[in-house]
Amino acid sequence: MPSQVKFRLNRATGLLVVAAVGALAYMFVPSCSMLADADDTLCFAIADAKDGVVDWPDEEYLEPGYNNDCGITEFHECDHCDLNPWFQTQEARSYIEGFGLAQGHGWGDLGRADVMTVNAVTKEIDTPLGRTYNAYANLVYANPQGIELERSRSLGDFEYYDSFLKWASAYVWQKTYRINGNCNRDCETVFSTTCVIARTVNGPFRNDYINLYQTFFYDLDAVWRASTIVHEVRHARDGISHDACACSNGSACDARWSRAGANTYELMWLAAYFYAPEDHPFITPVRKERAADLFDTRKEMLFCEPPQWQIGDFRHINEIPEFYVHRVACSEDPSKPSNCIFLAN
Amino acid sequence: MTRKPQTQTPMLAAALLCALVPFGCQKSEQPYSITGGYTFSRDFEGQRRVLRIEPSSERFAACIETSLPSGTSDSWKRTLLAPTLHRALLDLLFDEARLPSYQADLDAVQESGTFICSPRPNEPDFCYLPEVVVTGNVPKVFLEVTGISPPPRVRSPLRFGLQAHVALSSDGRELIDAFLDAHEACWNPDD
Repeated sequence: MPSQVKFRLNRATGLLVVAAVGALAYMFVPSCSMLADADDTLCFAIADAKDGVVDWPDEEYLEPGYNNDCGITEFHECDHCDLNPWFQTQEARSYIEGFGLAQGHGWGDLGRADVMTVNAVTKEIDTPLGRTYNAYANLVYANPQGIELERSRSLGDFEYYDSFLKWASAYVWQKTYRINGNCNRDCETVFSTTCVIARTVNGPFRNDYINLYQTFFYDLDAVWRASTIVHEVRHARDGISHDACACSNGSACDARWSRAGANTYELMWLAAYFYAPEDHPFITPVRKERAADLFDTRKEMLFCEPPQWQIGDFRHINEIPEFYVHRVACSEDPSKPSNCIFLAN
Repeated sequence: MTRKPQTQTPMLAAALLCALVPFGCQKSEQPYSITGGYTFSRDFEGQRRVLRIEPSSERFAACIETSLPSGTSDSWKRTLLAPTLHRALLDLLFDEARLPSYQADLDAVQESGTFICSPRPNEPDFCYLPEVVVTGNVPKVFLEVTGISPPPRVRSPLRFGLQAHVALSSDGRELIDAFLDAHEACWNPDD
């Protein structure tokens, strides 16, 4: 074989090898760093509480005439910034910057400085990025260690992650690669409330990403947004999809609890949030109530085979999280009667 | 000079491989979720009926009817409900005078509703509770969280038991009938 041909063949082979190695390396790109913090979106409802009962903003939909540009409107100015850790310290802000959001995919169109858009009088924030930060704040600061938690430890280390809230914070960090913002509103029909909240794309390579849609920013409150992040992350790196069956929640149904799908993870986080310690500095009783409300409603809607338990069955979730994460020990293996609740179905 | 394009072919192939392989294997999860409106769901005698309506009758209602456990080929129907039918259902739902009855119905199903289970090969038993559940921004009814002292009361969806031993108020029965009428109109709009 002429040496020139040999050389070309070697070069072609070399390039293919380089490409293969590149693709392989792509699979092992390290996970992004971490989440953030921030506060709630329930200000109007809380301020308008009558006789101590909060009228939750379940119907906080975009009104006709909304610009569809994720801009700021008075109607949605509802994320108060008081006590928002991410808002007050650079350290906390850096923390969230490392959580996929730092790569900025999709956020550029929304305006990267969006997060600074604050009403100086009310100290409220109403931007897609700010609302996303709020969701992460609920995840990160739900456990008292907040950004001090060592989230890189193995997710099987339940000696360290001794509450579900700690475990969930690390889980979301370790399993997130990229979070994008998307201003589109993707609903079945115009002004329908059957909408895409988020879109997760995954595959065998470490290039999965989650797109957050307008519904995520402006139809959900911060507690719901936080549990949605847990939900989407379960789709992302773990690759667990929904099931094709009929429940009350559009097409986002899981066959049953023990599928341990995105809906199961979402509800476990809500239950853990509800069962946060009473003296928690961040999770107020009002937020706990909201978590319980969401839990009870979503539990009825998300599964094609109705779960048989109540939120009361999760009272130990922040003491023995491993039993809830590895629910098989509790629900499907009667030969291992563990000291945990019975999660039928 | 004339051979240059040939030497670039492997490079092009490698670049394409590198660029396309990650995307070829990706899958997308983009489900539609319900974030509002009112959803009525009835599980009864091995059948599930679900009706989803918006506050305005000018927006489509969606409905489904399926056997339990639900299969994979089920599809939703969408239709505009007659305004009178739509109004009648929402009037019953939001009639404040009926709220104590709805609370009593929730308490009853919470206390004495029992799951009906049937075994399946190689799967957990299939279980369901014969009941009607209404979710969304529905009137406020509450249930007690067990295991905490004193038990806090948290908001709950409306629930109505359909078993003989579970008490059901006449107000609850009326709401269920209105729901089933609306569901029928949605599922069989030509009848």
